[in-house]
Amino acid sequence: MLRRTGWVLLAAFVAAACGRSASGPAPSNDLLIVGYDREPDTLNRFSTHILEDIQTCVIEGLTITDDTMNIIPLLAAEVPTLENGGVALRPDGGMDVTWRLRPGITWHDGTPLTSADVQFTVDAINDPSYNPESTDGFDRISSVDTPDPLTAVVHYTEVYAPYALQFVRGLFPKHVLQGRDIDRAQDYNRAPLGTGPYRVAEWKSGEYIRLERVPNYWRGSQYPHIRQILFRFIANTNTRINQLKSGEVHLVAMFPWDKHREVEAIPGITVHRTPGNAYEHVTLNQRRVAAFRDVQVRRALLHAIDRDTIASAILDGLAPVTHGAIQPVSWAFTPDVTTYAFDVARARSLLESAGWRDANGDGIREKDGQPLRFTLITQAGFAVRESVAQVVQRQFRDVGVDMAVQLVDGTSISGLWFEGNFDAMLHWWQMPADPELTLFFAADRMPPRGRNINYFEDRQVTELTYAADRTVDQAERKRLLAEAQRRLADLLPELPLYSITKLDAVPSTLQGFTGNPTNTGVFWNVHAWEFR
Amino acid sequence: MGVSLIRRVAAAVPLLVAISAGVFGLLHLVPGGPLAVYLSNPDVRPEDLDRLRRALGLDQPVWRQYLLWLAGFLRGDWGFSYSDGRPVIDRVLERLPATAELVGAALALAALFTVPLGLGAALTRGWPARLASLASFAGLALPVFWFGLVLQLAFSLGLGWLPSSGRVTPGIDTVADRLLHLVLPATMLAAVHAAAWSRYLRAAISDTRRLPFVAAARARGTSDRTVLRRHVLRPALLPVVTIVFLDAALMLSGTVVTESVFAWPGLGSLFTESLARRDYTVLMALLMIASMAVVVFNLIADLVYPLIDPRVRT
Repeated sequence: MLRRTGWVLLAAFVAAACGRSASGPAPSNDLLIVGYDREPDTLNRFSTHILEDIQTCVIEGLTITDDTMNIIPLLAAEVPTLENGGVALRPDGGMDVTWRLRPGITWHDGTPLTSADVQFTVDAINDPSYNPESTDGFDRISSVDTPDPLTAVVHYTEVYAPYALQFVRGLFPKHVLQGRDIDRAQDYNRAPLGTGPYRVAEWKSGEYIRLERVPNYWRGSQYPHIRQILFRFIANTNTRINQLKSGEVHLVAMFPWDKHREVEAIPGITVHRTPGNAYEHVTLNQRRVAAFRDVQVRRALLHAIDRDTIASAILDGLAPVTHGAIQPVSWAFTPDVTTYAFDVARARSLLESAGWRDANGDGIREKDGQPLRFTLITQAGFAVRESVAQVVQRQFRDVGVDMAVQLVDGTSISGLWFEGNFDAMLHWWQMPADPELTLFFAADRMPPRGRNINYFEDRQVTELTYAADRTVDQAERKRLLAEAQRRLADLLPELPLYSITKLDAVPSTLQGFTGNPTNTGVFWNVHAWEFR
Repeated sequence: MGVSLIRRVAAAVPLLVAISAGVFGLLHLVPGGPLAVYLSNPDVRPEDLDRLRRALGLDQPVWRQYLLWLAGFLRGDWGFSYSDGRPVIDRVLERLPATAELVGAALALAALFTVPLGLGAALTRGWPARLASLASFAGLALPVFWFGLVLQLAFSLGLGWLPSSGRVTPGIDTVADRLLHLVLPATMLAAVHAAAWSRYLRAAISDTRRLPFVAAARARGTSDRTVLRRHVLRPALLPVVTIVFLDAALMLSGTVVTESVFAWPGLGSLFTESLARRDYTVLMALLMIASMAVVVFNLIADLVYPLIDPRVRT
């Protein structure tokens, strides 16, 4: 009996297999299939910690960051600034930001979008009964006035420099969520009401989310050009790339660098490169390793690494060498800082003068009987990062520094750095779209209060970065941040390696794709995408 | 019969409680809790982490968290997922059919391969026997993960016969489409088990053929086919059936790798996702289901055995 059932099944398989070929429909203005590395936990943009690609297609913010990281107005008529009168500093140290909404915009259900939605969003996020991912900035808002349906005046208790990004994640529709437990509002969280070019048509858990274009999108009825976008969840990278090869998916955003050549060879696929707002570096935990407290040692370590060769040989020219935390893609970037070329002789002499000498002839330098030895942790499963760690290990060895390498899984590594439980770490920071450095370098922002995991302390850096955070005047802010970057390059709390380039595999026939360096993701201008 | 069943079920309860305590403790020992995923987002401030930790009850001592979990679990309240806030039971139930489908198909396929492989190895001589042995050894030795990727390369990228992953083609979703998607993952999951089972079957057939009642049947002039079917295969299948039931529970754990390779939307991929996010409530539910499955299938094996082998009845 069992056997007969088996044969029937097998026959069915064979019959089905002969029926049609494996590859799916070609990408077209009717359907674009995206291979996505994970399933979102929720589509509520304020609750999620996942990159926001799918949400970006559905929910629009008052502003958005474009492909060159400029903040441009989206639902707002313009970005408020000091110059245009949208930002007013109050004598009590607070500030008022006046948002004017673009007229004529409605939610997908036809209800007009108004300033009451802005007010409701702030109230909801500051309401202790709701648990958003981040309350950053919102916690500094005392109240919101709505003098008319298209004007919202946001009152801050103090000067908040990234105010223009306050509503980048969008707004809550007041008429849907008022008086409800937002954490458990599954109707909204699984299929949020937005104003964007798409709405959620279907979410099959573990399989895919299907978006459908909305009629009468506010930019004009010709937008968006693509009728449906399907996000398929494929966690395994090899499988995702295989699906791209077989044509079962059409677009894969942010694929790993070691797949670069393989993906480039797929017919009909173009690899799009976007300079990212992230940088790979070696964090030096000064609290754990006494040697890292000496600036000469830190400089020697950077001189010992041949970053140019790493960038060209291992990274295939995909990642330019960087000299600090703010990347060239940011308006706050300054190239005018001290740099450290690959120079083994210089590295050795710096270590000598810092008192680290190889007295016992074992090839490792010592000071006061302690060898210069530490362990570098890095995330397992990143082929490129593992190779870089090995090269750095070898090059440190050449100047008498003994570094062990330990691979740790992604979630564990977050726990380790948050507890300061490591010597050194090779990793990258995705930087906020707003060039805020306090979180990473101010002396009072060591965990658990921030991400200063170099445990680095410098009064001047702390003052400069805080001053920049409390300045709305962009020219002045740029000057302060340039000074902070110079000071950081001199003191070198960490070893900057290279700037991250994001790689996106897109169909060659897709027009309008630009990429995006920030967390907004590549779908920021999805309304303009078109197949020709 | 009834009393012994109740006794066995009762004995399983403390075992399951002990497992749950052990697993809960282990999960919390792994560095990086449910909040670790938030750390990659620069907009999440330390104050946010504190707030979320309190909201999720993670600021409580581990033993207290465990007792709260256990009390809820026993009442049938499996809690809410840390990652998306939905009830754990919903998340598990929506993934269950996909895994049931996969395990069912894999069991059927494995059984299908077991009989010819086992028979071939036991009854033939020379190269067919060696080939059958080789096939089952290969099945045992294959790194499962790699085997899945090779299947993808060969049958979907190379030959273009089968879809490389997923459960359905969105928008098509017919029975044929579902079967097509099932072939590769079910084969991957079945391979190891078919290989192991065929080794058992081969040994059992060889042993059984030497027994006196087989010689007696032959002496009565029964045809070879009938001897094989009625006197050899039937008793030889007995130990294999037991192993099939025990392995069925283990297959559940095999789905973790298979579902990851083939983007199969079942409990295995839910486990992988939840592990990466340290979604303790979902992980606990899945681990308890897996433990209960082992206990239940053991019970079933014990119960079924007397039904097919009258000698075991007492």
